[in-house]
Amino acid sequence: MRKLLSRGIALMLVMVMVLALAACGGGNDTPDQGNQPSNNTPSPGGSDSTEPDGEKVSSKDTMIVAIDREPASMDPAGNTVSMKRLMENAIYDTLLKFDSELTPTAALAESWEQLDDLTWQFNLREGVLFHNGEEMKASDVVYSFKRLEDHATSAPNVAKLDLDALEAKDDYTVILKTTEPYAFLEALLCNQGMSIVNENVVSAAGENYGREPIGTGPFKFVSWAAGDNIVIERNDDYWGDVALLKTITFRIITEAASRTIDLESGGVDMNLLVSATDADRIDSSPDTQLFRNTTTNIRYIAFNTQKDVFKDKLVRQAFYHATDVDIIREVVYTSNYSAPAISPVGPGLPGRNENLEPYTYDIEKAKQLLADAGYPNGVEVEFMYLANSQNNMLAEMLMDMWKDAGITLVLKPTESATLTSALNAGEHEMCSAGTSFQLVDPGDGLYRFFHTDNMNASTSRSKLSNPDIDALLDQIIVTTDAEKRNQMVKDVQVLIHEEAPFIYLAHPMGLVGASSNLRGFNTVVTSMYDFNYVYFVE
Amino acid sequence: MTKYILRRILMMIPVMMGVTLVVFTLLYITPGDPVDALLGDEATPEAAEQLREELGLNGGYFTRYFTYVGNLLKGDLGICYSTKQPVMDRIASAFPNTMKLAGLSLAIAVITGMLMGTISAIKQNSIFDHVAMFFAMVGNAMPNFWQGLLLMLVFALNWRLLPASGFTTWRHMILPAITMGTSSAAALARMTRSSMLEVIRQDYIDTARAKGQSELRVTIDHALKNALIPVVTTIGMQLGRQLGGAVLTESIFAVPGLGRLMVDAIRARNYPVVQSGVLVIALVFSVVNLLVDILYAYIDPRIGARYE
Repeated sequence: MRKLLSRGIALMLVMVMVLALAACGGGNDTPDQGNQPSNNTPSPGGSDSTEPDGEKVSSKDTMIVAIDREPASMDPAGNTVSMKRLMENAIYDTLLKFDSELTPTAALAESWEQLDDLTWQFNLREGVLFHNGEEMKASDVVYSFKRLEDHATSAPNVAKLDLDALEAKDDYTVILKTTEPYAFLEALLCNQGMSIVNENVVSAAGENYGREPIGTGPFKFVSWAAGDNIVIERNDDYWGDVALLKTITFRIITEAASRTIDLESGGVDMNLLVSATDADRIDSSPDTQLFRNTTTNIRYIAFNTQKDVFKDKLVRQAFYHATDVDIIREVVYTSNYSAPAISPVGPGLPGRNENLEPYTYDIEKAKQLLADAGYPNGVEVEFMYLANSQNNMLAEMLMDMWKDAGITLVLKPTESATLTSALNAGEHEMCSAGTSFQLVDPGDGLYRFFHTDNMNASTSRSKLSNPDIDALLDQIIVTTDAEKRNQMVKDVQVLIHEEAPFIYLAHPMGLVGASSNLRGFNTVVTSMYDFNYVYFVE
Repeated sequence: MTKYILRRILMMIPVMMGVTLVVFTLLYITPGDPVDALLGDEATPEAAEQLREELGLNGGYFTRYFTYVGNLLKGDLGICYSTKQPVMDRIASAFPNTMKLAGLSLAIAVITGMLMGTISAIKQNSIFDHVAMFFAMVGNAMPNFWQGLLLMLVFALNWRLLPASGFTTWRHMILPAITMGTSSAAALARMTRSSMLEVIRQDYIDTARAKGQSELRVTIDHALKNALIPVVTTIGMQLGRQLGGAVLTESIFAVPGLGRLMVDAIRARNYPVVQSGVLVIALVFSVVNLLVDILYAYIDPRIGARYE
């Protein structure tokens, strides 16, 4: 026993020493050691390695990107999670693609034309190769769209397509029909959910497909370490501009604070989701830079118009007048990193109506409206929201503000899954929410938010049902002429504004942090960032 | 002894059955629906119904429970709702990381905790004792989350000594292991100290000294050995704490372990993953408890004699 114990102590001492050495030993290593580019790769900028403004292009051709959560799969038929879509955007191509002006342009389809109200012809680019070397053909396009109907997660995407009539006229021509005239077909075809997959590969892989995706995109899938990282590498045979970087590693770091520290300490080169509280820090540090992205994101409070108290629009208007939206935006969403909101259609989007009369912060008017609606002694309502620090702050501010107008707010902070189920079931009187327009086009977004047909879908938190609004939205979704449609989008915003189904709080910006030597990154409204042109300077 | 161990192993079966029942029932009565989490932002009632059918969520409580236990007995842990992979694969990739982390942090805790506790006891009321016990108190009181971020700021950001997050090399393991080990080290230091203080006042310690044995030998052979029983119990309990604490630590340091897997699964109501994760942790805990009991017999032969 004595021997055993003295050995035990010796072992302990050795371990202490090892740990002490470990703590000191790493002094000269950079945290991203092992990811340095090899010296024999050509510099990403090509033969000319000096930029016009005198910056020298670095030979670093790998990038580590921090993301907040792991996608379940990279099957386009899976659900809509932004980080999943972002990686799909790198691995796959779609028939069309938004340019920086949000106009659909040629991608896998070289050209396309509308043959009649319902029929469209797409002429595919020839010689496009999947990552496994097979050529992309019209039959793959047909297969990619038809399979979406079989998955609960993607079936809504193809609801407006007449899939039985979808056909490959020849190897490079696809004929697509919609069930009714559909204004957003081109926008839909830009969406990552409509990415083109390889029929042979998907059928062979079965359920595993989402974890070993193969597309035609600028990057090839390499590996997936569950819970830790996903690696993609440059597709040298890409039909478009070949990427400058050789590999990109997406690392899953759930905590926002950890992502920031990792960016600042050089552990990652880019943090795709900077929280507004860390943004100033990233912006001001000499080692990092901040990109602000205007997106279609909107933060709002929704009134459930099917609940007795909110059936009357006077009550909803009263609540709006009782709300000091400016101060909420400043405190909760920070003025620097959000834009003021008065409609779901954010600044810079087509069809935004700039002439809506804001609901001013006016307690007396709020009280008057409540009295007119039959609540002279005030009203008590329940407010459901996702329990996090931002929403807690919002709830407390509302409770305090509304007290003056005679509104008693009962707070119901709720955990995420419980909240989603409750909201989908329409149990809420009032909730806070945030959404983006799936197809970017405001016409489609408003249709999903406010049309009676979508009353039970998860996009319609107000469950608004108004025949005038429905009529106009019905027209919007069948009007393919963009100019006419945008005018109707402006008109419908006036009707929606009058109904006050939401209180619009802010359009938060997408915030991306990157190391200061990163170049060639551009923000886009869709948040589907393109990594093709990213490179590093010395 | 063998009979005793066998009996204990057999007793684990009803314990595990109890765990399955409790976890299943808790998940069953928890509000929230996996279907809503899976469908994301664009859920329609039709899609939800279609998916509920696919996942077999339409059965009643008993149907679903017995299906689950039946599959479990066949060794089938089910399919992960979100990734469609076998749950076994997901657990198998995450569990070793958590065990590595828990093992390393426990090693740190045992070494520093017992060392501090022993020295504090023999040098009672000295400066070392006061400082050590102050740190033990702070270590116990400090929230994991806050300590982890603090370590990250100092070692990863300011000094650039260690990577801030990830779990690929041993250098990545140091900060999370220290974060997880600190509170256990504190608990062990306090336990070792009080247990030692009791023992070193015993007559046989004076006897050992009177025999002329060196102070080191008296401390280790006579005092520490006899003070070990409550310390070993604490170590066993701490491992449970490590597995629980892994949930937070793994999130902060982006460790792809069982704790983070379970938190994500709970958020998404990914029932098969939660159920299996809890089962694995319960199993580890039971086994460690058994090992602690067996250890008692080796440390104190009087207890060993009672097992026969």
